[in-house]
Amino acid sequence: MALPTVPEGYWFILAFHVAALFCGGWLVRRWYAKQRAFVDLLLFVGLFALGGFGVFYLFAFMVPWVPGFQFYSLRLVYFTYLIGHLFMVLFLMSLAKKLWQTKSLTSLNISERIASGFLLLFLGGALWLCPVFPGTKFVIGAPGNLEKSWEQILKPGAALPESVTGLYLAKHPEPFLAPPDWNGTRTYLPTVASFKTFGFTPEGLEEWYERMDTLSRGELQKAYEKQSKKEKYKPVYINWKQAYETLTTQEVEELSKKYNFNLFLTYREKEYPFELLVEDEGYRLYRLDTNGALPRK
Amino acid sequence: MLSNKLKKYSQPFLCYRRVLGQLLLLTFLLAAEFSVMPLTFGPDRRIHDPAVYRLQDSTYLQGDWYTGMAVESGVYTFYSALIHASSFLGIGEELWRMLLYISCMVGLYVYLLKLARLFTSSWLVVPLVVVLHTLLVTANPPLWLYGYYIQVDGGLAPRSVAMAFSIAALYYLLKAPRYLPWILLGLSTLVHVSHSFITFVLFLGAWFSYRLFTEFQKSKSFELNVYWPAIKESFSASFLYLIAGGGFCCKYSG
Repeated sequence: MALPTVPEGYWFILAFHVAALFCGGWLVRRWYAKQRAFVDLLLFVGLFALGGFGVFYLFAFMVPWVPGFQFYSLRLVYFTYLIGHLFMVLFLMSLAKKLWQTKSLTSLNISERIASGFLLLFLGGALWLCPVFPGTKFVIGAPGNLEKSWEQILKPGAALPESVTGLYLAKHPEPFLAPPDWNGTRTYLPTVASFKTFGFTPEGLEEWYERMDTLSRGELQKAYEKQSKKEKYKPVYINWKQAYETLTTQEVEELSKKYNFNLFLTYREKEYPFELLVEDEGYRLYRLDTNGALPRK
Repeated sequence: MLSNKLKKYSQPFLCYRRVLGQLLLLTFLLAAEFSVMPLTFGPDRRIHDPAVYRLQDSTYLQGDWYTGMAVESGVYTFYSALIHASSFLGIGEELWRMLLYISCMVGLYVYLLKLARLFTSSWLVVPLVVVLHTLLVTANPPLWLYGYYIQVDGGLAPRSVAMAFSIAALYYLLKAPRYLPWILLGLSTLVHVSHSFITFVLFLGAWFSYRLFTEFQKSKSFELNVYWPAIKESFSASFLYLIAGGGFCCKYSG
């Protein structure tokens, strides 16, 4: 069966949440007897989210039902995560309180001790997966980020640094061809194909794939066919620079006619016999002849 | 007698202290969030903006394939109107987007706090949940970016609204499941169709099963009349969802 593959770490994190849901839920149910009805309903939500995730993981990519929903259906599992986190924290707080009060494990019966040990083991494993320094830094955050946020509050939408070519294109919003991974502006610009602007209707996705494949010079389709044969899918890494740089003048003109654009953005080191409009550290922006036929320098 | 009087007079002060404490906690949570992910222009604007602007101005990027396709998908009608409410309010669009985003974050944290308070009065629960979430996000960033359920986005996107509504709906599912969760999910469907519809199916399925389970535990019977109230309430929940905005997803799937 062809399933999208994810690294092992994700499965461990999922297992951690499943443990938090079952063992944590069981312990919280015992220790918060007055709130048992809430715990039960949360358990149902967590289990349904987990089951839904499983069903969609197995079937959504094989049997598309409502276009576009497969993507979000996998995010169902985040409700399991939320409930797992809540149970885990409630468990840790209750355990700490019990241990503080009795100064021993006597307040826990044997099955509670086993469940607690199991949960702590999983928690340790999940935290061990965190790169300690970046993890700590991430939780504490950076004071510089607070400063940036404050600046944003004082001046919402304040301009972020944009590339020279990006600024030119933003001022002249007309269709243009750029490397699909070009990230020179924060706003949408009518580029022929880009990673970000994928279509989310069946026709839109088809069109987007066709455009991306053209710019990858057929590499995407080749990778798809190769993976289809093996029935094992993983993310495709295309060297976009390599693929894009090999576009010849004639090919650019053909693409211009096909996709109806006159502006062409390419890497700085590549020269084309078109009118150079503007350039920055990484890119050059050319204008093709308006008829797309006779290039001029 | 004296202690009763003291209690009576100290009540407003205690209430004031509690509100102040909650405000401080919220400020701390928001500051922690912004120190991890600063407020910015907002995520995925290149995906959402074309339809948002074209729906308000039919001449915006005419002939552009992506803009046309995004409008055709039909999912941006209400999100576009929500963004353009800034012109009715007479405030700048970017300021409005930021206010909406901060409101969504506040809403999400408020309902997480309320959810935690159903179990304990300790204020520590939500900060610990946030720390756990952040640590795990660092260890294994979600496949589809952003946070798991706390959206570490830095700016407004349809899912910022939908996630806040989902957490609020989860709280009301526990506290008052008759009307509010379904109305909230219906409203959020207008802004984010796929997330909200799937959340509705999940909550309805879980709640209905829970009701059947508890009814069975009470009666140990398989007679239909035992389960009929739960069935009726599920129908009325679906109806509420559809009229509150869930009907919008029928248009999308069609």
